[in-house]
Amino acid sequence: MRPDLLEVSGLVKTFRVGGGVFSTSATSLRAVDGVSFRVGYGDTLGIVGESGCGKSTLARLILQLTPVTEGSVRLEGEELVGLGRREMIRQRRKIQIVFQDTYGTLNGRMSAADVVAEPIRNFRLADGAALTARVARLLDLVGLPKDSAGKFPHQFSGGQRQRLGIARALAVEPKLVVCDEPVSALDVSVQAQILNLLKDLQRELKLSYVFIAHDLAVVRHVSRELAVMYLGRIVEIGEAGAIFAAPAHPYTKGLISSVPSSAGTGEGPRELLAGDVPSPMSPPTGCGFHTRCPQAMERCRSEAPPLRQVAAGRFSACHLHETAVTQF
Amino acid sequence: MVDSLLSVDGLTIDFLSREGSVRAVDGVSFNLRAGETLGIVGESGCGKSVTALSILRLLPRETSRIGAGRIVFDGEDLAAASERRLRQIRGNAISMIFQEPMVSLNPVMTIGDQLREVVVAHGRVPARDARRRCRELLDLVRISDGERRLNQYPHELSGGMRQRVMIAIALACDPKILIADEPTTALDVTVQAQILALIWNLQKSLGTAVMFISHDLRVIADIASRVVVMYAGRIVEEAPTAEIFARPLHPYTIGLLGAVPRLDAPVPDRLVEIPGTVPSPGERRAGCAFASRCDRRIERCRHEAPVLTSKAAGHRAACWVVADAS
Repeated sequence: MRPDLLEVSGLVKTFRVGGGVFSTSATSLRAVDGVSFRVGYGDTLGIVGESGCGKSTLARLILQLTPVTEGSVRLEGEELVGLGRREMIRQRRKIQIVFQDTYGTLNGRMSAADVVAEPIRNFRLADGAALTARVARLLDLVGLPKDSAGKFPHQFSGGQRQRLGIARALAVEPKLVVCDEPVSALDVSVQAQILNLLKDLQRELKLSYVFIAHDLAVVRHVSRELAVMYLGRIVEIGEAGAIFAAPAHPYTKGLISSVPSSAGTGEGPRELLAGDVPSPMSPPTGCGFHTRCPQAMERCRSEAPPLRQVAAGRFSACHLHETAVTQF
Repeated sequence: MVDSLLSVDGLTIDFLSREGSVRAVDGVSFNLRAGETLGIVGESGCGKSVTALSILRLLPRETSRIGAGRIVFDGEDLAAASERRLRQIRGNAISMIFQEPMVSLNPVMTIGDQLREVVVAHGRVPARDARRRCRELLDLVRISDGERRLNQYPHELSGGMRQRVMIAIALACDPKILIADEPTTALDVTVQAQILALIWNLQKSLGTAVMFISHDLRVIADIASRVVVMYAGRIVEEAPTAEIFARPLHPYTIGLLGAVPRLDAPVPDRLVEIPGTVPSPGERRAGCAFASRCDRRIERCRHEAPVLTSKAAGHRAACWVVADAS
């Protein structure tokens, strides 16, 4: 069987927290706790969850921007975890990232042309006139105006800076782009422009995306598959349309119902999930969600539910699925 | 004429700088009725927060100026009120909550001390009863374990909890108006739902009029009974909430509704794009400020700014194309 483009399995990231340099009292925080998924060629996996659920850490782990504690990340069958610096740099041609904060991730002293040309030069993909032509093509591809090449990041609007960030990511012709909250800092009218652009580019270049965002409607708009994270774990994963139509996990249900209806019914807002996400420093025992779950049982306090298949291509981690017929 | 609690009439606000002045808010008029929730929507730079801040005269005097207009509250023009009078009104009759409670709360004072400060300063409760009143306020905003919370510092609370504390402080003196400026924007969607439900319930039980400002029409949809849409310092449309979602008139409102992905509709292949970006106050030209981004513009839009025209009961829009259609 041909391997998928990206195969993540049993991924764990722990951070040491508290205590000083010489202290022995430090505890460890499991920011990502046994996450597995696959992303096919030309496919989009959306990842949602509240802040602190580990989605941005996961993005960094996929790109090996932070050391993996445990588990495996395979790109076209090749293991990325434990690769040396040189080999990892070679792999980065296939996998790129687009960030939320375009100010912080674009060098303010580099012109747009230099921002896009740098990765092409680094990989020695083109030089001279060929490089200039390629840069111009990329700026055009992401919809930046003709006179953009000589401009600096601060001369662009927020939406244009994000277009530039996308052009930089695409410069080395990657197969997979990890998008970490790419539109959450943008105004809604500009957000629509970027979402349409990402979809157009995917069709044109057969790109795969791992698309991370806190806005569920945005994620639903771009994703074929969806993973819902809570306290470092995937609690539900499957086909996005099916999950939004009939969520299986109580957390997914609460999350989806919390999104304002935009119907203007005048019936007032609905509050379905009480409380906050518990601190990952002292996660609850058993199922991490039991402190907020309206359907929590005795067993949920002591035993963490594994991901179980609940329908074709759909997995959910909840003890409720074991008893009786799954109801969703 | 509907009885209005707050009436903003022809409000114009200029920002002053060494290079000259720019108009941030340009002839804005609206009414807030007793006990209603009015939503004010628009993208960044449209003047919604500036309008809100000007009601309590919280804009810095050195860099901003109310050029024209009146802000009438209870028969009194706040635009002309003295600083002394404004201090009596702020936090008392009209109070305000903001997007980031961590910035508005004092990090080195306990929650209890910050609540007590407001309760005592406005002289509503004798000092010896202050702690009891603080507990009541925490109960009101559904913070459990109030006694312990009073001794905690802001950093010990979650974002949602901090916003609840801000709401408690804002409601300490039973204000007639609560101005909420993007109070849920920094919060997770589940916590946002909790805060929206809290504001909704408090509004119903206390009868406070709420002016709710947001960039997100979806948030406004659930909480407001009427909506004002702002663009580039002006009101472009005003209507009852259900009406604006069912029959939006202004091309900008229509664009905004189509640009936002929704959960309660099938996924469209493409979202509606409004080309370009919101012009900054310095870039605004004569005519309709939206004309350069509008796909329905006519010649007239280029040189003459449209006025708000009534198209149905309580439904006004500022657009020449809409005005000409019968």
